[in-house]
Amino acid sequence: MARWGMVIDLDRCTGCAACGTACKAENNIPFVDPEESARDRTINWMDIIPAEEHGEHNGGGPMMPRPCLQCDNPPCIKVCPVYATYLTPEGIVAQNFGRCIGCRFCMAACPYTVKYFNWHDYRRKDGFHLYENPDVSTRPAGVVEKCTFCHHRLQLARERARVEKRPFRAQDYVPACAETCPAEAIEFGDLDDHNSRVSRLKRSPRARSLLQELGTKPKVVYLVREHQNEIG
Amino acid sequence: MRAYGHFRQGGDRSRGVLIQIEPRRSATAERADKWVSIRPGTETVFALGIAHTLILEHLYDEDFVTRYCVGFNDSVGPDGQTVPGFRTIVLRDFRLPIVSEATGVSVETILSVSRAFAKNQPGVAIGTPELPNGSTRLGLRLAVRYLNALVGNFGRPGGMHLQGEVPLGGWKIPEKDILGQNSLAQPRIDGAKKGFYALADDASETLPQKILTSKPYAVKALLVAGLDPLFDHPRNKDFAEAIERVPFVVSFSSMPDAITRKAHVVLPDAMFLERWTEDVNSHLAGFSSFSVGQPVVRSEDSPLGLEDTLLKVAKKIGGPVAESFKWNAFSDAIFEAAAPLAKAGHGYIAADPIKEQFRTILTRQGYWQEEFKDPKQFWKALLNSGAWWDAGDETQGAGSQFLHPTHKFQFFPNGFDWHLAAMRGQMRQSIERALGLRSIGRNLFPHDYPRPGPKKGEFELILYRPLALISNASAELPWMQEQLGPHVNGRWDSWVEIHPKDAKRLGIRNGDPVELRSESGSLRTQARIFNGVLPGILAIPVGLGRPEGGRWAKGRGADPRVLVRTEKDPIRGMGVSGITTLRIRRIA
Repeated sequence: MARWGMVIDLDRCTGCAACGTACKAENNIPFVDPEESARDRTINWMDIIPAEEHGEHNGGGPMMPRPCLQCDNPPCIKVCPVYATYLTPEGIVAQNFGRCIGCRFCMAACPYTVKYFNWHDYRRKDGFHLYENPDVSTRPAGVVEKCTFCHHRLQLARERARVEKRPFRAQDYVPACAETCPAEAIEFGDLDDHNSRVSRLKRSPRARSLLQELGTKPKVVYLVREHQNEIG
Repeated sequence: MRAYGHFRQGGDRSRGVLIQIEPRRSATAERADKWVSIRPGTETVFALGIAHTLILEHLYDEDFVTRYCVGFNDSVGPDGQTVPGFRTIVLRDFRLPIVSEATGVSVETILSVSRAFAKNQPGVAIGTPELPNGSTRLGLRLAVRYLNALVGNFGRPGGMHLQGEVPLGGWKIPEKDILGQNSLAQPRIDGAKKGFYALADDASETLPQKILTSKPYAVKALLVAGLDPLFDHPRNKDFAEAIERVPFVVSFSSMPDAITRKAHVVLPDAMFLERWTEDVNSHLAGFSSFSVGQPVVRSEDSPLGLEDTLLKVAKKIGGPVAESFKWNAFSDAIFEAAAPLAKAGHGYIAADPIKEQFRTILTRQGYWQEEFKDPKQFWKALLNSGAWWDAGDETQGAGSQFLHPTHKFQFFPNGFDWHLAAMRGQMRQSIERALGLRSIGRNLFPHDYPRPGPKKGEFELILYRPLALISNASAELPWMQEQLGPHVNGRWDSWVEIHPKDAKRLGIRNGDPVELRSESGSLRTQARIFNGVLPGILAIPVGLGRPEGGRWAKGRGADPRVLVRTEKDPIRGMGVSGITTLRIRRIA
């Protein structure tokens, strides 16, 4: 069985945010009104955040994409009282929107702040709904949501393989962000397959996990930039 | 961006080095190995400072300069006088302490950047910061080109390449009917191709005034596509007045922008996902290519694309116009244009990396294989892949990179000199000034004309276009509005970036409402404290502040162009200065 993971190469990444935009289109992520946005209620399953901190409000360093880190030891599932968020056998931290009661414990527990709360019903009926992806359910008010590694794409890829009467291959399944990235900075695949590109990159000396000391064992790993070339 | 990824971590090559020279720490500067913060508007001097170092330390490619360049060394003019060459001028006028003082960059940094540029070859010097409607800054472009010539970076792998022509077919210049002949016999309304605009293909800067004064004649019809002149034009206020004098205005905008509200007829263009598109790529790619985009979203409500609308209009007009625009749909026209590519004798439809690698090797050895006998099969493959390209451009040597009859690089390009030769006095001076050039003897040379610096309490302003607002329609897209400036948490609104030290001195906190006032105008926005601008400099994103538009763009944010002067641009025909001095204060 595969263990899905992602490697994001920050030396390739340009910070263009195409991954975040593709994610929004793929997963029917609603945009919130400007007033809501001013209250920091914008929903970004794939957020673009500063890679370094230069102090408060100074704007810091290159931007980097930040999806759900898909931890192997996720704090969020331990606090969910209704099992709305859980770890699938293939290592995806899934979110059952229909089961969520909106207690937001998982948001408090997540050290990476990847979970978002629907403060209102942000679903639109003014034409935008015509462009929704029918494979992904929309979320009502009072529900927490987050990146699912485009889990629906895994299901679709499996179904396609079944219809085509062939075995499912790891490369059949690619999340929207990895598919879109114009700089080819996002690699996705089976971490347990030692020959896969994603697995090889994860073993690179440049590989780092965010907040590794917490023991969350994220399956989204970053490749840091090489030491800056000596210019003086 | 794919090339950037490969440039950094291509696997089969050493990591590319990126040095960004810019007053503001942009997204590119963030990614760079070194960001050189420079005084706004002094990039030309900086480039010539690098040239000075390359020559002084003998880091330039002497072989290339000797074989492929003209004007490097002094020469003797027809009058027997010595004409100073590039080398003499640069060594004389651009000594590093002078460059350092002008640019605000230390001598050590200029030296280290110059040495890094010489060491990391093949490498290229590219670009000039571009604003929407920004000035040409020909002097800066020339100075950047000099650097590539000095390191011999023309026509070799990894260097600059003259892009080949894409052998498209089908579209011919239509025969002119009587109406067309009569129209073209009249003088151009905008005054391009003569006087100050002798070098310009279009001079839209003059349009509002020409319409208002009905000189050389009254404008009876105005068709507007691709922009909103009542917002995008540097003289938008004049344009708003002028538009009232035109009896027939057609807007092809897909959004209810300002020109659409004034138009007599609106023929809304399809959005980019709803329409056919074709493109011959830009000059920086290093290879020639042709790409085709198909509609991916289509509903019964979708309007026609601009081209399809024009084809329908041509059919209605009938006669020679209908004959010239013979296609039933724009996709037919693209099909016809693309058909010769199948038999061009070079270039292929884009394929997977392994196939591409194989073809590139064959191309570089001079081989080409015809893959499609049937044009319909070629078309189908082109639509599947999206692009045709020719890797062969990179195989041309240095000698084929220069269009000048001598096939050599000209340190003193005289291509437009003959235009200027006919002009004397103030006109010539004003053109030179606008282009960032000055006369040295008989030759023109890049030059940054000193601007009055900020007085006490004043700041220098720079404008930039954020990636999320890269096209005119971006402000209409809510997802783009949500990510305008992730570096300062900017969303759905404009902001002004100010250095932490300046903010502290003026008592401005992050998010405070502020007022900016320059000689040209004033605006109110909010402050964002950002250490990516130097002390004494403010930066504002361009693209918001539309007085009209769709529900997500209208009235959102502020247009900072009210703060800067409109400039005449002898090549582009219009331009705005991205730099000015101004004051900032917190408002209650």
